[in-house]
Amino acid sequence: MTSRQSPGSRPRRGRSAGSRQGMRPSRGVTARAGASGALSVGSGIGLLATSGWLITRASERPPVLELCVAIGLVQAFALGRGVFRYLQRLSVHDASLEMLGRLRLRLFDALEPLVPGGPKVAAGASGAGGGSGAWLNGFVADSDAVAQGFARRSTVAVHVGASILLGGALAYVLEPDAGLVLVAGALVLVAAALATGLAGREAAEREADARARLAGAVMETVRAARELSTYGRADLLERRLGEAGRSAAEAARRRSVVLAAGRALVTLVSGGTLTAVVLTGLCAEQAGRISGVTLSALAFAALAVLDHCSTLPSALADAHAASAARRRISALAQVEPPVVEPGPSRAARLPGGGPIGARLDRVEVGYGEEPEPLLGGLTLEVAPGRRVGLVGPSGSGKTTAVHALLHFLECRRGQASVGGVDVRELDRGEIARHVGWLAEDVHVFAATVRDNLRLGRRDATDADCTRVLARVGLSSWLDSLPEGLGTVVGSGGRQLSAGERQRLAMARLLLVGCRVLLLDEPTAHLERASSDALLGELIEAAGARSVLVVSHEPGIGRLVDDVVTLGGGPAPSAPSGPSPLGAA
Amino acid sequence: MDRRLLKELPAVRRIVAVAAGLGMVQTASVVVQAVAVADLLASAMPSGARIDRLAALAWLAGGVSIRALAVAAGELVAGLGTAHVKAELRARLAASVLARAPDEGWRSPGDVAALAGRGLDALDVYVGRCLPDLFLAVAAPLVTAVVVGLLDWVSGVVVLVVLALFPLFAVLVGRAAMDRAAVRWRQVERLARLVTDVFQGLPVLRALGLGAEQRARVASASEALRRASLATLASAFLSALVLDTLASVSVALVAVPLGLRLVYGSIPLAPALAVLIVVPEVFVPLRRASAEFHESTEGLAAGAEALSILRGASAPAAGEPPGAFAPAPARVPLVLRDVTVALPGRAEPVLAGASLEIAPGETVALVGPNGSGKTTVVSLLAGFLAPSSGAVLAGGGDLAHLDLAAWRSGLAYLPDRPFLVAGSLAENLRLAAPRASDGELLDALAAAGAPGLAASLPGGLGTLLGDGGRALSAGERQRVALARILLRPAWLYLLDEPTEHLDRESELVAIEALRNRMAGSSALVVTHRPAALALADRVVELRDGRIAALGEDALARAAVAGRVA
Repeated sequence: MTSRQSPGSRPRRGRSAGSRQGMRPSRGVTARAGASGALSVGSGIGLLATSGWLITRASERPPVLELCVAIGLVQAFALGRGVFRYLQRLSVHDASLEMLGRLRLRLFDALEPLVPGGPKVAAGASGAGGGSGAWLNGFVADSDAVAQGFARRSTVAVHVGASILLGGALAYVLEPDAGLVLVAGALVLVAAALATGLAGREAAEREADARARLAGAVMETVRAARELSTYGRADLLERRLGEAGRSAAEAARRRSVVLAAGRALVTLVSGGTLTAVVLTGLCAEQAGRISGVTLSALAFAALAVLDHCSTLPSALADAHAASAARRRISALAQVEPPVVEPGPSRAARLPGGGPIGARLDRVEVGYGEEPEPLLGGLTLEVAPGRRVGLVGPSGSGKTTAVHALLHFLECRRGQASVGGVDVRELDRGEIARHVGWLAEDVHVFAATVRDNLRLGRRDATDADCTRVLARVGLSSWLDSLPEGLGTVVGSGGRQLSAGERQRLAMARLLLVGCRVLLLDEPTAHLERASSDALLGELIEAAGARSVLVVSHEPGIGRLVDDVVTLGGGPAPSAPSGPSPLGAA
Repeated sequence: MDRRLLKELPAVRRIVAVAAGLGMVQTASVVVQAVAVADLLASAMPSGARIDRLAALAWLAGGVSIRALAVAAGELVAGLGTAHVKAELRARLAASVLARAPDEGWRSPGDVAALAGRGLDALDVYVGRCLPDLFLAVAAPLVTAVVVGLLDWVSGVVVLVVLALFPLFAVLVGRAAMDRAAVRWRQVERLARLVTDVFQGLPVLRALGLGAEQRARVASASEALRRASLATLASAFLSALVLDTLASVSVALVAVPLGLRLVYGSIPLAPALAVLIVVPEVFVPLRRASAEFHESTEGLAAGAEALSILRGASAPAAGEPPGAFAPAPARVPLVLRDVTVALPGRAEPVLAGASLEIAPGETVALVGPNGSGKTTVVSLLAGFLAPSSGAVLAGGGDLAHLDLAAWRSGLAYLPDRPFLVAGSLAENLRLAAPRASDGELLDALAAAGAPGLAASLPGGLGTLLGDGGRALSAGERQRVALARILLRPAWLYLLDEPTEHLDRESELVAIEALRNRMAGSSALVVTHRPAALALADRVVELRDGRIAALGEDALARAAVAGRVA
């Protein structure tokens, strides 16, 4: 947790410096990939050049013994080419996987201080909307795309680079003029391919925009089709969809024209270079500088070089996807974390003993330089052992208040404190031990029920786990599981209902032994009929702990001691005294 | 390869045929270039034939130009043609969704949208590139092998034998590799899931103070993933190794005998050189097709999915004569008779022999636990869904034989998640009543619990909403949708949780307005809320796929439960 965010100004530099770090694989793997690639290319050129020489020399009817070396070479090159290519494939993927590992860590470091306010904080870095799962997945997919793009690009780079160097050198030795012509032609080919790639990239970006708009229109159509069809206005959707579809098709058309022109150009340059090399060789042969046999070897070497270079346009065609992903990850790494946490040595400790309270004192929270605060001057007190409800319309800053108490966000003005200590003086571990957080989206890890619970406390026994599950009303659910606490849940395992997820997460917090619980609309994903009951049970499970509940539920007043309303309007009537369910 | 795609979309057939044809033109131009280069090279040898070098150069230039044209044309056909196919598929998809929206539990809107977007994009790589290359992978090597045979029959035989060996080797190596890969692949998938899982749970992990520990977990999982992937790839790449090696070995297998036969003067030089240039080209289409294997599986899946949606959506529509009956008269009983609805992908039917009658002018409230199929009942009555068995009758006529557009023109329908179109607040409201005055719109908003909404917006009724416009909260959206219902004269009201997101006072005002609006019309109201239950003449409960009247005590319990809520 504190691995990267040391106190003071270091995080700032740490984030922006070395933005390329993690985007490249280590030197050893790179060298292996480059060497095997160059050997494979060299074998390919050697195979064709030697074969060409062999056949042409043979037509002069030399003694067969003279051809033996060439025959041996041809066979060696033929086998070597495939084997080296195989080794290259493996080492390139090794490099890209190694890079992927480091990219993931870098992503982890960049994301960790930004969650859970993520979508808003990272808005500049990622265009992805949707729930937190969606945008986190977006970044994971981005890192995959970067690594895959690297594998493709480096393979082609080695093929093109090695073939021009080795083939050019061979041709230069055979006939200097032809060698120069070959290298020049190949470079023109590379330039043409790169120019096409650039032009295609712009077209591809425009196409991606058009596709995104189209996806929006499709989504809207699917969502709204029924309602609008009862109003007889399905034509509104058809029109929007038609427009979006036409502009996407137009963008695709433009892109394929660019691609077609580019590939035709590359083919022409490639054929032209071959013709030029053969012509230069023929002139040299007429002038008596080289023999017909050398000419043949020269022409075959040129064929091999141009063959390797011809893979360039298709490799560049989808390079834009990887580079867009790389930009998004780089941009994410530049996002400043909203809070600075104290190092473990400087962190304060909370007093031991019974329940502790939480307090917001005229707290104002806002992002960066934005003048409009997310939360403006809220004062809220949860006295030790009390249960307080926080209500208010969407966007009034209820969740922001909870995040301020957890020190996920920094207060611009005022102070957030837990147990009488300013949260800015507490490190993450201390906050985590004492302040429990239950949000509307609770992630269940792909692991056993036991491991999900023990995330909070490693030394918890099975008896502890069973006890907290009983507290949150999951006893009969636990009994119904085929392997009890050892049942795998989450992705790839047993699926949990929204209510079961919330209960499991609550049980985890109870196991940690948190003394303050912040429940941020934990029942938002449930239907109303079941959500009231669940909210009551969750609050009940908190026992003597201090609780702050953010809720839309109209019945919240019955479940808590006090209700605080954000964003104006009268508070729902709250009965004084203990909550009715508390006695049950 | 999916034959259905070719069969059902003639445009796909044309694209594949033209693209594959252009691929053959490319192959032919390569052969022309090879022969021209070979002639030029041979002419430099004392033994070689004297040829017209200018003519050979012209052939070479011609071959290059034709190849360039064919390459460009292939790219254009793939790009332009697939854009056309996609537009057609998308239009059909949209039309089927509009005709009969896919029902809940079948595919989520997100799935359909993803299919119409990214899925179809994967399809265009498949149709534009993979499919033609698949044909070329079979046809082009055979044609080039025959050309080689014409130039020199011995080399032709060698190439054909190597070509025949390829599938054999590929199968042998592939099967051995696949067995090993399958085991490892599961491990790779598990590790990959673990990494994604940690990222998805990042907010929870941070709140639990487990960042550093889980970072180490990501690192070790990534390392394990790298090892496992490499082991898998080492087997998976074996088939590529076989292909690469056969391709280069075939050059050696052709070159060496050619050389020896040249020594003994049994063949002329020029065709020998041409053979040597053409032989590597024999394997190019095979290598390209095998490299595109991954992209092709994704596109194939998308194509199959699109076809199944089209088919699933159009199947019920096919049997019904459109508009066979005039819309039902306004005051008729509405009957669900023994209706069963089974949705694909769900073992249990949503409705199993459910029956319900709504008398003319009656308001029926429908209650029931989560996921019991209440929304499905609404969908049936609106004609968005046809029952698997049983019938939905309006005045004795089967809804399946009605002109659905006319039927829906008499409906007021409030879905559980109402939709606001991109447009002004007034436009959104006037969807329901095109000729309503501004005053009527404001009255409807006030009755729907949003008296101050228009005034609070910068542009009043003209404020743009939805995409690119002002975002409304869930409560505001519900109120706007409710105002639409209040503006809408209809003879059947289908309301799914009409007072969701409303506070208590607004709810009472809205209920009163709904009561006035719906007076004299029939209505089905799905609700949990006691205030909304008060709208109903009768309450029925949906449980285990059947509809039953709710007894007095159950009604009281529902009301109490609602009040606690």
